[in-house]
Amino acid sequence: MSNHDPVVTLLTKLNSSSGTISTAYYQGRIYRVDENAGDIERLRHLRLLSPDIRDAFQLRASFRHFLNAALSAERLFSMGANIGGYFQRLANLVDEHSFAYQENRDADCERYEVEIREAISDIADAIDDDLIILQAQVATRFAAVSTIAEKKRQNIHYQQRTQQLVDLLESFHFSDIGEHLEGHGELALSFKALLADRIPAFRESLLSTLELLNQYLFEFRRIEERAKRVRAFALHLNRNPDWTLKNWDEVADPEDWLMCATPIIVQPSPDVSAPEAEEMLAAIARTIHAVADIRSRTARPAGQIEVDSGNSVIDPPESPIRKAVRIYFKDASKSVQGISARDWWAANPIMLGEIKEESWLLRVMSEHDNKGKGGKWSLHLVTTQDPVFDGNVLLKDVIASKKAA
Amino acid sequence: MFKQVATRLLEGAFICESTAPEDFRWLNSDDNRAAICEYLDKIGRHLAKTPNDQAYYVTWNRVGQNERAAVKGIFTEIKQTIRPLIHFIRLCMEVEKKDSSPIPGDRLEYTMLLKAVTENAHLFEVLREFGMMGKEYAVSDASAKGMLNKVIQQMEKRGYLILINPEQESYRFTGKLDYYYQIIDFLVENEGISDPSSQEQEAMPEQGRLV
Repeated sequence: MSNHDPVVTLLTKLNSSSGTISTAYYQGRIYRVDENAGDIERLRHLRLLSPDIRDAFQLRASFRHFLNAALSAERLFSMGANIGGYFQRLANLVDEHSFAYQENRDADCERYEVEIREAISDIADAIDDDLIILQAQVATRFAAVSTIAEKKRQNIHYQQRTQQLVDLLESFHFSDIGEHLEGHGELALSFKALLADRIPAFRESLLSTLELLNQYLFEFRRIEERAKRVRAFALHLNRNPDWTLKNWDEVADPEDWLMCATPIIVQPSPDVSAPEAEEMLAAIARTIHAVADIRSRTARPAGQIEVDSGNSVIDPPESPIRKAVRIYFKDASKSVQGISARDWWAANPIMLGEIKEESWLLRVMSEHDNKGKGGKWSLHLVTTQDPVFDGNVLLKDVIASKKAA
Repeated sequence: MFKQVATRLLEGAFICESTAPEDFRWLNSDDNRAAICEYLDKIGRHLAKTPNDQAYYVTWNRVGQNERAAVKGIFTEIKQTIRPLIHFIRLCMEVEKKDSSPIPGDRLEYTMLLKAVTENAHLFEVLREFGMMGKEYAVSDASAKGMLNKVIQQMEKRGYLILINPEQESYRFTGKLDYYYQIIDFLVENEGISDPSSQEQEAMPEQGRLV
């Protein structure tokens, strides 16, 4: 291909400005800055950009439509191509071709043939594009718009457009374009293969889309009606907080929605006598432990208190001071001379830890008060008279010794 | 498939595209449905469908003295459920700013719902009103999250919502919603509940003459 091929040259230029084109397409407009000034001038020169308001530029409509179709972009109230205009142009070209043929103008005939082939292709492509747009809108139920009212308006727009296309195809079916082209092999073949043979399929697709659109319109109306009822009901509940339903369950023939059958929980049991179940039951049996370590529960006879509750009692660990007191009195119970509590405290720092000496003495005396009567020890207090407070004593030490027999 | 579907139906399930898609599609076949109907008929039951063909469920063939208690039980449940359900539908409509009520199969995003009730005082108030609709909706934690969790939990428990994506916390409305829409239709028609917007429209000419 030559470097001077205008198509290649154009595409090369477009490629070099692809960033600017993309920005203008997605943002709807583009402002001139130093970085894109060259691109903008180039695209304006190629008539692909038009001036917009406030020093901005936007893609020219024909180029934008091309990108929409190529990218299958969803457009609200998409208008599609002017297929009726294309049909009219085709009819005009065919007429002119006939005149040129009859008048032996060969060069004109060739030119008209090229134009007719393009016109046939234009019509087939435009119907195809329209069908793609319609099917995308129908498949998503006009997902680009959110409210039911908007969806309904979109639905009506596409319904009208689809109906127009169906009518157009039907009227085209009765046109005589095919007969005019019969004597011209290549043109007749193009017309038949690209358009005439495909028209029944186009028509079927359009009719099925139309049917869906009619159904959707009905559904949208029903959804709208339901939303109204829900709102009315919610409002009624709000205004009447004490409102309650009438006793519809007491009528002779309750409504279907009241007749929900009571659920049945199906719990099948295996037939142990069935030979075919033997293997499965054996497999289950093998999973059960041979030794039963199951604690059985027995019912307590009324009026009888159970001594053993069956629960094991977990003793809390003995505190260090309790242990020290126990060991001290155990040792003292064997000592005839007696053991000084203060000496024992000093001799067993590990066992008594951070317990202070005076606390220790008080704890020993407390233990003696509680258990001294039944204990195997006797306690001797080492005291002196208080110099100030008459009648009081100062405790110097406690000596526990074996109780005399 | 017959055994699975029949068991589910007998257990009181509403079979729909959201809860049991395979079972629902199986039941959409005329032959399969006929087989189930024949079986249910033998045990005094009938295969019912919600008005918009969104869910299948089982009803009694006829209501005699033995079935009266069951009918009463169903009615009691409807009485207890209808107010919170309508309130929930209204909340969803307000959050999504939609002029249509949710339909079976619609998605419900928990995070979007939580964001809306947290940021909008009116929606928070709507959510708070659930607390007056019975002990099932009472919460000790009065935060938006605590209340919303309770409501979603109840809606899921009653079978109107199904969790479809635990990670994204996405739910879907089930076919049982269609069953309740039929009850609402019935009550609107038979309990004298009127659409206030149509009343206002009817009142317009009269006001015009007065002016």
